[in-house]
Amino acid sequence: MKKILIIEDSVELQESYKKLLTAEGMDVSVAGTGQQGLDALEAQKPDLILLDIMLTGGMNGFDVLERIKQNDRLKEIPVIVLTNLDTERESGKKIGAADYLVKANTSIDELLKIVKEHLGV
Amino acid sequence: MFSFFRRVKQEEYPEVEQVLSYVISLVAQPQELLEILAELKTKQQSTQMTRKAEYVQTYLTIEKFICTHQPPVTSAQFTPKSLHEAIGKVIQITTLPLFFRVVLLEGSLQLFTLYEDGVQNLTLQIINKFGLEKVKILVSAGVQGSILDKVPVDEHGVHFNELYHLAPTFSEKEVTKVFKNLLTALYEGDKELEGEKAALETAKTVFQATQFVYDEDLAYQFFLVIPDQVLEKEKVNFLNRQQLLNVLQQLNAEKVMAEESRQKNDALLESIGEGAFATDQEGKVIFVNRVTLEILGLQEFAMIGKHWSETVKTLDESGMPLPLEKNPIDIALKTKAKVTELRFCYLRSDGSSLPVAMTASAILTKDQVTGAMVVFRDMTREREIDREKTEFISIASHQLRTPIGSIKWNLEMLLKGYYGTVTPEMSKVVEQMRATNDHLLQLVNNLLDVSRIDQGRIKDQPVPTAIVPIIESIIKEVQVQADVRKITLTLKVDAAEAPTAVIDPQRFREVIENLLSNAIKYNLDAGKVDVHVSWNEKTIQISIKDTGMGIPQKDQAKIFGRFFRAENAAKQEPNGSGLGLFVVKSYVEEWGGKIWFESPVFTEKDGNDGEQSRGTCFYIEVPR
Repeated sequence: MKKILIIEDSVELQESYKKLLTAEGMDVSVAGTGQQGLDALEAQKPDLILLDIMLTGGMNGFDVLERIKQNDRLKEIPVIVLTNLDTERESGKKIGAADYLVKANTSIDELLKIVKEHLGV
Repeated sequence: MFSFFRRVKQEEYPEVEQVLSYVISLVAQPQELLEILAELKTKQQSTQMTRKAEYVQTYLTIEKFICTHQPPVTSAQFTPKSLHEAIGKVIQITTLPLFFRVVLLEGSLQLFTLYEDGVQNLTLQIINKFGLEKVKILVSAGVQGSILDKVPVDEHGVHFNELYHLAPTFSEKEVTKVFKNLLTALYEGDKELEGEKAALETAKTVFQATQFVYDEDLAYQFFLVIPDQVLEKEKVNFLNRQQLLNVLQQLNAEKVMAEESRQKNDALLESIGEGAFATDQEGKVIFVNRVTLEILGLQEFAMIGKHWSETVKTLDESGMPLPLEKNPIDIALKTKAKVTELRFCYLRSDGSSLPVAMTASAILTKDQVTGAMVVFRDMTREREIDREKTEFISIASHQLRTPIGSIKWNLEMLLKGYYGTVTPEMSKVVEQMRATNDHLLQLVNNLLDVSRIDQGRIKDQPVPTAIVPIIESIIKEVQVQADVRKITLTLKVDAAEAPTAVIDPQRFREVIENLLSNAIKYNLDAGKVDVHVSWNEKTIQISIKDTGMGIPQKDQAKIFGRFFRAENAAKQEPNGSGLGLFVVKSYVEEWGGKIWFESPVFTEKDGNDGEQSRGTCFYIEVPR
């Protein structure tokens, strides 16, 4: 069973992700802030990370992504940036995001397709 | 006979001695004068003057003594002119040797004689070197069309004396002009035959001889006729004290004028609200205005005379010191260009950085770079506004899309049954909600795109991209929309492997989505949309042809305009934003591509006989 970590501060979207990906037979865990996300990564190593950028709690998605990419244990995990901020595509890719998706412009079918591609299933 | 000169035997000029004896005899008590002359004699020997020069100087010393001594030393007070006249009564001036005659003449006659002496010297040298014929040609070239037009030339020189009587009837200015032409012609001829250096030597010898023979004021007249080329390089060599004073006076007058004009320029440059400074061709600061000093927090003395880079520190857009060779000032000095930069910062003396817009222009004098002028403006406010605008767009794009995106996913999941079974009746309503929400999203996206295009901020990254898979995936997406109205979508690619296009993949997707969704939206039920991909050596062409309502002729010119909607389209789809094609065109042109369309013109009459459905074909051409 593929393990997915979602770092997203909107409770509503957390629910949507969970429902969507659990239905595909994935093991989904959720973190509401960047720090919680990093803590969760200490405890377990997921196969894929879905990462929001505009996070509350002092640390934004790019900070989290940088920390992941600096960590030898975690840096190989594909991180898909999912945000509604479409002006930061270049910086996202530069820091090492496997993909950069604008949430509102992505259908759930596309999302599932891209997630599966990165998981290799 | 007074025997002052008798000790020297060679080069005797008895007529001159006669004149000198006569003027000394006019002085009632010559003791003082004789002392002065004895002193002069010692000086003349020590400077090894020529005999001619000794005579002239001696005469001029006596003349000065007689004409200026107070109380008068003669029975009647003489002026130089009346003294000359008195001399003319005891000896015929024309019998005096030329060098001496000059000092006894007035006005144009004196100039005439003086210049003649120089010309005689010069022509004799040239005759010796190149023969008489050459000199004849040179002289006639120099005097052609002037008062000296008929001057005879033979192996003894140029015989001005035959035209001598003419001189007093002409102005001094005219005499000077003619001799200037003549001497220039001789000098140029000499230069052509012997080379510049030799010609310059000859001219120099002649003028130096003049200096020895005549007094300062007379010798100075020669500067009026020395060919310019000689003047340019050798002027200073010929200058004696008086001439230097004259030249200095002239320079001073020029300096005053230059100063006045400089003050005007300075006032002008001071009064503008922008920083301005100028450098010489080596980059040393020669001028700086008050605004510059205020903005940079510097003192004038800190900048003037130093290379600009010592005080004006430039940072590039990423805040790194800008290499010298990339600085607009350096580029302007090297390439004569005018360079404008809007992204750089200047470092203030307190270490803070200041965003500036700067323009450096080369200062050209006769097409040579003699310096650079820099004008710059404090851009703090502009950049702040820019930053705020960008921030607004980022925030707006995020804030507006977040709720729309959330609704979108939930509706999609609802329709797909993630939340349980949906009845057909519910499904219809939810589908409508989804379409409306997508439309709202499209509007937000378009508005953000437009404001970005307005700011010139499309940050496109054109890369070689396989476009057919993108087109295929979009066709798949819009298939649902097409199916509802039974519209057939086809894609034709000219060969199995289409070349890559140099485009931004994300923007390209938006372009094709926009055009395809238009082709479906404005089609007839059961119509067709044909997409065709073809290419040549340089470009790839994509055409999207529908069988829809077409574009009325009166609207065709405006179809790519912002917020414009064709009349028939607005009737069919009241909710469009009129921004789609504007955005599409901006993107395609950003890649260096083109967009156009064909929509057969129809009239109301055509419309009546069912010809309206000939449709529209949009073409885009992008670089490969």
